[in-house]
Amino acid sequence: MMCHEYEERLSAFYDGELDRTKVPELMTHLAGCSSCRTFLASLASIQRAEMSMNTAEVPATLDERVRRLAAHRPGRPARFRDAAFAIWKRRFALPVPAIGIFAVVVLWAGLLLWSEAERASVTPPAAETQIIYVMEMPPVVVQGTVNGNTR
Amino acid sequence: MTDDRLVQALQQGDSAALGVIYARYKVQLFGYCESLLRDRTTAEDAVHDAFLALTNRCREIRSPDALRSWLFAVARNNVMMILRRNRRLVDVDEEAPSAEEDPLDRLVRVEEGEALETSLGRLPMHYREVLLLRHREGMSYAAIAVVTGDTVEAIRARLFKARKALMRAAAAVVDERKLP
Repeated sequence: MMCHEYEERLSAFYDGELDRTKVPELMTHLAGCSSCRTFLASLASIQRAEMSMNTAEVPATLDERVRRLAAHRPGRPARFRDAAFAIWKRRFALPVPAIGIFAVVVLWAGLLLWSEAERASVTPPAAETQIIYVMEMPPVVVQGTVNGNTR
Repeated sequence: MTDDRLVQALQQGDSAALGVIYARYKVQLFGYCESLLRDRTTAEDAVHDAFLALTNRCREIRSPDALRSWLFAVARNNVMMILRRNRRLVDVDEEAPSAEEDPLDRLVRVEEGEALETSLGRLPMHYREVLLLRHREGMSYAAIAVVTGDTVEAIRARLFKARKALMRAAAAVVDERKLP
C-alpha cells in the first residue's frame, strides 16, 4: 500500500471511524513513516485551528424573527404568509404549484362546458316547427241491407 | 433538557421549547449557513426558514434524538435553494482571489491570524461543509451523511480529500505571507 492510502486510513482513524481490524497494520506503517506521522500531526493542527476560529455572531434580527415564531403555537402554521411561502419553496417529488394551476384550468374548462350544455338543453323549440301527430284508428264495420241482401 | 424531551414538548404544543432549541443551536446553524453562503443576510434567512420548518413540521420528526441532524439537513436544503436562486453555485475550487482585492490588505488579514479562514474560503463548498461539520460540530460520519444525504463511505473519502485540499491551501497562504 502507498502512503496516500494510509493517509486516508489515518484520516478515518483520527476521527475514530476506522475499522478496528485495520488499526494494527496502520500503526506498524506509522512507526516507520515520518511522512504519515507529519500528516497525522497536521490533522491535529487543523482540529485545533478550527476549534479556535471565531464563532459566528448571530444577528439580533434573527433572534427577533425566531422569537416571533415561538410566540405562535408549534405544530401549526405561524403566519399564513410564511407558511404559504414555505409550501411554495418546499421541494416535492411533483411540481405541486404547476399541478394546482393545471387542476384549476381543467375545473374551469369543465364548468364552462357544463354550463353551455345546460343552456342548450333548456332552449324552446323554434316557432316555425310543425308537430304532426299520427293516430291509428280501429277498423269500422258497417252492417246493413241492400236490396234484401245483408252486407 | 435533552433534545428528545424538547422535541416531545414541541410536538405537544409547548412554544417555549422552540426558544430553547433555538438558543441551543442558533450559533452552530448560523455559522454553518454563513460558511456555505458567505453572506450573513441570506444565512439568516436559511436559519429562520429552518426554524419555521421545525415549527410547522415538528410532528414529522420520528426520531427526536436526531434533532440536530434534522435541523442541519433542513438548513442545508435552504442553503442549496438560496444558492440555486442566486445562481451562485460555482465550483470555488477554481476560484482565484479577487483581482480587485488589495494584496496589502490581504496580507494584513492573514497577519491577523485568519490564515485558516482564508484557506477554508478557497475550498469548494462541499469540502468546507464536511470540515465544519466534523471539526466544529463534532459530528460522526453517519450524522454528516444524514445532513448531506450521502453515504458514510462518501463522507469518509470527501473528508480526507478536504483535509488534503486544506493543507495545500494553507501552504499557499503561508507562501503569500512571505511576499513583500
